[in-house]
Amino acid sequence: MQLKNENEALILAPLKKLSTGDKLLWSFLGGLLLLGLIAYIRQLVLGLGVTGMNRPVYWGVYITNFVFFIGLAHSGTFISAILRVAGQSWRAPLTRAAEAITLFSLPFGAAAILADMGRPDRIFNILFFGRYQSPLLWDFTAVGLYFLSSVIFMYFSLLPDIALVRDRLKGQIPQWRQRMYEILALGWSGRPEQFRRLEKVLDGMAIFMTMLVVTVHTVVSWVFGMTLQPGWHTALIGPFFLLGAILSGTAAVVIVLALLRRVYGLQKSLPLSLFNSLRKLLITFTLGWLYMMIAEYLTGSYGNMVEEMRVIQDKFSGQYALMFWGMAILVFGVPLLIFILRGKNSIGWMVAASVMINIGMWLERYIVIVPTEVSPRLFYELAQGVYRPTWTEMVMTVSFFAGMALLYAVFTRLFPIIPIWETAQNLHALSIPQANQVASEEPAVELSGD
Amino acid sequence: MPRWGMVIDLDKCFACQSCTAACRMENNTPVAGPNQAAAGRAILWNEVLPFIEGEYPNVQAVMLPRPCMHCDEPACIKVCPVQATYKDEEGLVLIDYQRCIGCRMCTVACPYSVRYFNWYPPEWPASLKQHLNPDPEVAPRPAGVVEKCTFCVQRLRKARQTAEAQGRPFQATDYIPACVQTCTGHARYFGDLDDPNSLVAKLSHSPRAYRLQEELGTQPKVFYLKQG
Amino acid sequence: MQIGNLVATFFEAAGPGGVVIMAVLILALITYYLLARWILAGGKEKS
Repeated sequence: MQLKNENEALILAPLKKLSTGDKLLWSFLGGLLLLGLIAYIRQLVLGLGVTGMNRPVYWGVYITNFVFFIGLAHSGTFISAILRVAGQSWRAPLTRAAEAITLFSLPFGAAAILADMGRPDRIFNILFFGRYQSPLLWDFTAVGLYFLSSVIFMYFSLLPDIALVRDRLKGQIPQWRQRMYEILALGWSGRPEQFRRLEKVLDGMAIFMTMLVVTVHTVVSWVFGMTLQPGWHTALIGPFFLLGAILSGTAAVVIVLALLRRVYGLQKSLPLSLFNSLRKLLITFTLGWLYMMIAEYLTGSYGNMVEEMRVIQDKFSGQYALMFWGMAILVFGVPLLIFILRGKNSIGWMVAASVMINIGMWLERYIVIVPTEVSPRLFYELAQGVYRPTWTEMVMTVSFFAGMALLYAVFTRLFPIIPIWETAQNLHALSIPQANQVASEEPAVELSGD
Repeated sequence: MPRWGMVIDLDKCFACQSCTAACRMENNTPVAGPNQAAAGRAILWNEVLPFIEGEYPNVQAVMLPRPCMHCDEPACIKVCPVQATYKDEEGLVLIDYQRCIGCRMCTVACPYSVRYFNWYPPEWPASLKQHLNPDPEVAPRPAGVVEKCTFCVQRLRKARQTAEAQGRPFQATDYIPACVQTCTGHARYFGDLDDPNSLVAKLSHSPRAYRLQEELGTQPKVFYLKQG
Repeated sequence: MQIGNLVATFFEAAGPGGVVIMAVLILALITYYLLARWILAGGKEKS
């Protein structure tokens, strides 16, 4: 039987031809990536001294990027796995675009770690001599498993659409791409039983991935939380990082969706109601994040412990005050106002707020990491450390973002960014429990307005 | 097995910094130079920390020589992903420079900030370079690995070898780190904390004795005798 | 008592950690491979 998606032609259109705009964009992004590579090779030769890191600020921009990119990755899993488990069928058009964020941000999280290592040539020591008492091993396991599972989850949910592209675009695409789809489709023939099994596996994996999301970012936070440093050694750090990741990830999804909608003319598949649903989620997460911040700083400052207060005061009124309050304004102040007063039915405002949230969240990661190191326990009476990131770290950061954008852009030209099979009007005809739920509400694409 | 510890008498230390200099010469720590030192890149396995309060003439100063604490419950070895840093049977916290991957988790975990990182390949001014310690245990470390005070473990090995060569049993007093040996004010003591008759064991129970940040549970083995 | 020591050694010694990472990832790979095969075999007529 055939799944019918009335938007199929629209969704497949981007795969047929590359525009000059694409070539320019890819060259530009590729150039930035190359700059990053050059900066990295220079760092390998000259040593990490080319960065601004020192004693006591042993971790800086690279680790900030690590935490930030892993956090971004949570967007995909949140939309595709957690919302799936929660039975939110409106998520269907977004899932692949969101999962692609996950897929392409994780490698750069890992790249950030590699960039930060003193002896990257010895990375395999972790496998030969790994000690599970170290939070870094928990990190390695969790992020590794998460990446592997995200790739597989994305691939499985892509399978029916690869087969569709293989069949529909025959003759319209170069031979090598046709071959690629044929191989990747793994002989998928669209039998109802295949669809049923696929849905079952995706349901199961969604539950697993949800658990992984919680584990991964908690474990990332424990790299800081398991030390004795003020500002880091707090039980709240796990939930703190987790909620932050989900917040920045969901905001990233809004940005990406708005871009795709504009660039590929996907207004029919990505209607306004999607943005309104995301708006409600973002309000919830922003408020949740505000709660975490209040709990953290109220507890710390009320306790008035010397080494804690040094770090807190540094953030509130010291050398990091501008960054801290700037972050607060960018992450909640303005976005909350925008969401409540202007965000409904306005993609432009939603994107503005989401961009602010992500810039703010990058700053937030920096603020968690650096001020604590600048006021180490033993030295608080002496002098504070100083950290000034160098151009090497800036260039590498930019190249990470460029790399992620490049991979994403290329992906959208090779695979349909909206799941054609999951948004088909007659999905329920396959008698899949998930689809039946859809049939009992409304067809997956048209969503009840807010 | 002996459990090596150190006692530093703050009444006798007058911050001459000979210990810091001797440590550098003994252990081949690289010279950062004034610019890099100002940027926080100096590697000083032993450092004398000036804790100064008040304004002249009402100044209270405590000059605190700070080697590695060689904790019995070190925060650093817990977090090392590859066991590049470890505690040996005699209580010394050491580093395997061949295995260290330079992740620097140990450096952020240490609450005493005693660990240092080689931000670039080691350098010395020509005059110092001629006088590097030839002992292979302290061969210059490459860029990208962590290093710190080892209580001059190479001297322990040499002392044991010497005793064996001379056909006599090794005694704890045969082993003395460079900083302790050099100390101008005879402020530093070193020995086996588990030997109730050793000087360090007795001094560590002195009413003047205290350790840094004891509340953290790290069980440091460097004791300070309170000033005044 | 024995178990306590065993567990402590597992966490503190060098090596077991690497084994765990590899085991987890390889187990996952095998599971995903088998799942893929199962999905694709859906509805095939038994010969």
